[in-house]
Amino acid sequence: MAATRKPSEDADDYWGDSSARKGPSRKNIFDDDVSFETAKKILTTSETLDDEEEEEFDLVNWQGDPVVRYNNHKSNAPDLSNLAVPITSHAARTTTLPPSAPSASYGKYEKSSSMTHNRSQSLGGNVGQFGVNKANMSRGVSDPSIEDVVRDTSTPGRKQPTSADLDKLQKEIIFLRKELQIAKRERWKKQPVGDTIRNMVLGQAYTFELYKSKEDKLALLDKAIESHDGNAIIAVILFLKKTIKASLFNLEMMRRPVAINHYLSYLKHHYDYAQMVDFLGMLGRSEEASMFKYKIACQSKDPTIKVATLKTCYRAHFQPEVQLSRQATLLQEQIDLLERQRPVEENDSKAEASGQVQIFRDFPRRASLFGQPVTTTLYYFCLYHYDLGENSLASPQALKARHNISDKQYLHCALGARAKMRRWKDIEALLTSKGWFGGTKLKAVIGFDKVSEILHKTKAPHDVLAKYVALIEDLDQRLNIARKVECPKAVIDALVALKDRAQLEKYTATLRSHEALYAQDVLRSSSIKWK
Amino acid sequence: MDFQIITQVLRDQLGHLLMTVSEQKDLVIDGELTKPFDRFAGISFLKQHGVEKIFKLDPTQKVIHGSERRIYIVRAKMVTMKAIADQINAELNRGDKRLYTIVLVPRRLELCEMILETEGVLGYVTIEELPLDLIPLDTDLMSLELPDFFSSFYIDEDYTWIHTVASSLVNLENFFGIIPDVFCVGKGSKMVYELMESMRGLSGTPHPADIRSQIGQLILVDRNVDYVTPLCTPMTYEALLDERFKIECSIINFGHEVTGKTQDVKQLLTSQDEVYRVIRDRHFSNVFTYLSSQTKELQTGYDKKKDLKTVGDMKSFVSNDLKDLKQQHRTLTYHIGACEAIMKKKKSEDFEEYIKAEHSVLEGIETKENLTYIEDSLCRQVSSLSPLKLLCLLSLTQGGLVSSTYKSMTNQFLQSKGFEHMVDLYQLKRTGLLEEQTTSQTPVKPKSLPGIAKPSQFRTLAKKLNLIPKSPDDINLRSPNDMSYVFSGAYTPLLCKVVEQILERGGLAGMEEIIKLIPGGIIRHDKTRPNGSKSKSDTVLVYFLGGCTFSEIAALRYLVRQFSRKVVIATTAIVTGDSFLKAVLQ
Repeated sequence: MAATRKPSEDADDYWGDSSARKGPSRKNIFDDDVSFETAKKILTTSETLDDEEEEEFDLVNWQGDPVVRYNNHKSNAPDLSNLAVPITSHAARTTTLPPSAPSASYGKYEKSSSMTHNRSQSLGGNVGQFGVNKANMSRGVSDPSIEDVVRDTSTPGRKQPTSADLDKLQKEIIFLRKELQIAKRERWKKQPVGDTIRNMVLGQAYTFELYKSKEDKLALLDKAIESHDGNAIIAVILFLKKTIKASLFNLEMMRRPVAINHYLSYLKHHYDYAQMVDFLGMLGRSEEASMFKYKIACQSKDPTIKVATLKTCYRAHFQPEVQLSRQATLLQEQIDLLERQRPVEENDSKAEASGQVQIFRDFPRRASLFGQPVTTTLYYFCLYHYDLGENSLASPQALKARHNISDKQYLHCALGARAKMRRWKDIEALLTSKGWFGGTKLKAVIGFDKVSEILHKTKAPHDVLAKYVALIEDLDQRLNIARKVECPKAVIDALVALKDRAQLEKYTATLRSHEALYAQDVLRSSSIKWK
Repeated sequence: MDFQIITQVLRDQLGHLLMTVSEQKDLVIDGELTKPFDRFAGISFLKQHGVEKIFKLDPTQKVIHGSERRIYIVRAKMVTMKAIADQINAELNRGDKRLYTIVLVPRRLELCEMILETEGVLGYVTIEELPLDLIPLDTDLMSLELPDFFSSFYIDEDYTWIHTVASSLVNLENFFGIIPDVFCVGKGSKMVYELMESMRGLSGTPHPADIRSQIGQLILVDRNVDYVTPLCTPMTYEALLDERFKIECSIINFGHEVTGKTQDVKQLLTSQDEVYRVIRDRHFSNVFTYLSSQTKELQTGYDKKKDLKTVGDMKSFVSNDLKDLKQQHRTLTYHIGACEAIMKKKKSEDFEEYIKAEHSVLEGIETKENLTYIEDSLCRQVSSLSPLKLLCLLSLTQGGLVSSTYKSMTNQFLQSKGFEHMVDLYQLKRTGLLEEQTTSQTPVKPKSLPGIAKPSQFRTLAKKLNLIPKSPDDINLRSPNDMSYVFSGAYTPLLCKVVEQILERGGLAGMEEIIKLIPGGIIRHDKTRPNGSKSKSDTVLVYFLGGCTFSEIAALRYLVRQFSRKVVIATTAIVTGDSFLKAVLQ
């Protein structure tokens, strides 16, 4: 009140005041909103209650008002008066405007106001209600706008409204009162559920308040589902949840899969994870619930907490579920992996920080080991702890055994890691296997083409590369790989193996330095039978 | 059909909204909306409408300093509402006096208002809505730019955005007349049609029957009818550009690698760019030749200056030709740079081996070799999603992997990528992208999203619709003679093939068996008056729910040329294999 009356008042007070007044004392609220004069008129000329006055303003298309109603939703004041405005289309509303309404200025914003429609206006309300939004005002209300009174602190001494203005207002009030009678009559009439849903689909105002019986509510829900409009569906679901007891709610939800999905989607996007998991459990969708719990458990960063949450998750959601036995096994593996990584990480990071350990100085660690995949861990172990025995935590062999790492995968990591360390002897040992008669033989489960590529990637010296390229059996492939890994010696050897002198001569011409010399030696050699 | 009017109306609507706050104000815009806004209202437009400063909405930013009026323009999402409410509350606590308008795109949602109410800020906020739905991206392409549609509708089965699709169609009809003949391919399409029907009847907008519709047919298609296409490696230039650089609202960002400049260059890629119009839908192998021939032509253009005799000649050369030449020069440089960048990337990824595997998966041959290839990629821990894509393709085409294969492959996948990706596997299973074949003893899961499931389904469909050309070598990549050229002759995008069948048959006659194989089926709502069919517009609108790829766009452009029809493509978003898969994995 103070705010509306004293235009020059500080805006801070204005806010303080108005928000303070948002409380249950509905009676006064309206006074705040209406321009001083209008309010006075209303109070003197009619016995109408506050909420009825709101309706009047709906009809003048004052953007703010219906909001009050919306908010009233919560406050138990019985002034829920949505029926007056809501359904009337924009066009209809314009025609019901009293003659004094400045339709020209209204028309100016016609487009945008038809876009936002009644319901929107209802919500925009509170701001407009305090008379703040200039543009809103220009749309609907004619005369001394509150907003000018309240906001224009820069121009304090505005002139008082003229008697013509007051006259106009008087007429307006009479008109509005008539409209109000009509509205009053319709006020408590329940709309068919179909109409309410239609209004929601079209973005118009509606109310659920009058649907009190369970049957009505469920009819509303079914109608919403029928409409395929997710917005309407979830609104009805939440209305249901608020107004019927949990057991009934759950029962009715279970009968409607579409409603279930919308409710779950809402819970998920509203971050109500606990409720979501409970609800999933109730529906018997335990895999989904468990996976969701698991997903959240995985998000913790702190090693100790992460291991602990995963363990809890395992016991609560995976172990008891028969159909999740495979996932349970995997989760157990994950926990074991993390418990293996944690002490290794602690030791190694200390060792690295001390600066005393040569290997960490030569090959600084790129990231924390904790939480890395099995493959990365294996590579790490092969890099820093290759020679550890199987009973040690950081032993590559122990890791391989625990996680059933395939020989292929093992060879990949070990080759990469040892090549990076320039430990060519290790590589030879890796690829050596015992032959049938006690002899040894070089063998690679991943094929020597892949071996060569890995060595190439780690920038292995050409003589090492050439040695393994030469073990590729298919000669054409051997030549291809030799070219791919850019190893001239291997290319020359491959061409020799192919006995393709012409190609070799051509290739030699592109070479320089000692590779060219090697090629020329080969070309001079008499022991090769060229094609 | 001229989309100009859509752009104009969008501008008007935005203009009006901005003017509802007549004072100078700041604008806080959702990051998702900046690109779409660039397409219909630039900075100067905003400035003209009293916008002082423009901020991008940043949920981590607690307080924004600025003028006393602020307009937020954001996508209607709960989490965004929370971020805004937090900002407002923080500013209120500081004692800031400010008035807020929140403009929700594309419409007000109950849940958004609920958040503002529960956060206690509704009293300081005016809520408006901006029905920004289809954004014209080119003369034949529109997009909702709503990538969330996919996960929301197909994964959460939330129908919120169905309304947006339906109302975008009703809006189109308001501009271009009621579409008389509608085909719905899939479940979501049917919902859209039904909602559209009820909106048409209710919105009260009069549709004079005598206005000739400018769109003769609408074909609504569901993404979940075909998950194979987005997983296939693109081969046309535009699709490759999107994959490599990401095209957003037809705007591409070329970095140093392409331009050689230190600053990124934003380039608008539409049919107005003559060079681009020619090459966008070409098979990649056929792009470079064109660019080099253009470069030669450009040289002749520059050479003209040697023949300039008079001052007048020179003047006209400098003022006319030179500008065009320079422009063309620049465009050519970018495209050549982009081609090189794509080639370089592909080479580093062992492209040829991957394509070989992908094509044999589609053909259904050499399964063992393909599995070995995938295993090898997992061993090498390739960083991309490609092993997973291949695995999904394998599962989709075979109707799930046999149990032992599934277990072994997923184990290796988890070892390579980390156990936490169990969640990914679960998501893939839910959407039907990567499944374990169920033996007859275990009951079939009561509900899983369709996809092309069941063993025979993909193969049967592929055979019935001839999706996989018998001899790919017959497909001419230079001057395409089949839609499958977009995947080097390895596969025809299923949805495009369905469109082809509908156009070819003029309806659904004789498609009964195919309809049975399409998840959700196909239905037709034909309201063409018997004598009116002749006057029906030959423009066909194809609307993708859940996103389409540039490969599909290229295929459709090729297709309608064969029927001498016009096509307009609308989509909820344009996706790539990666963005599609990431949406599934969330």
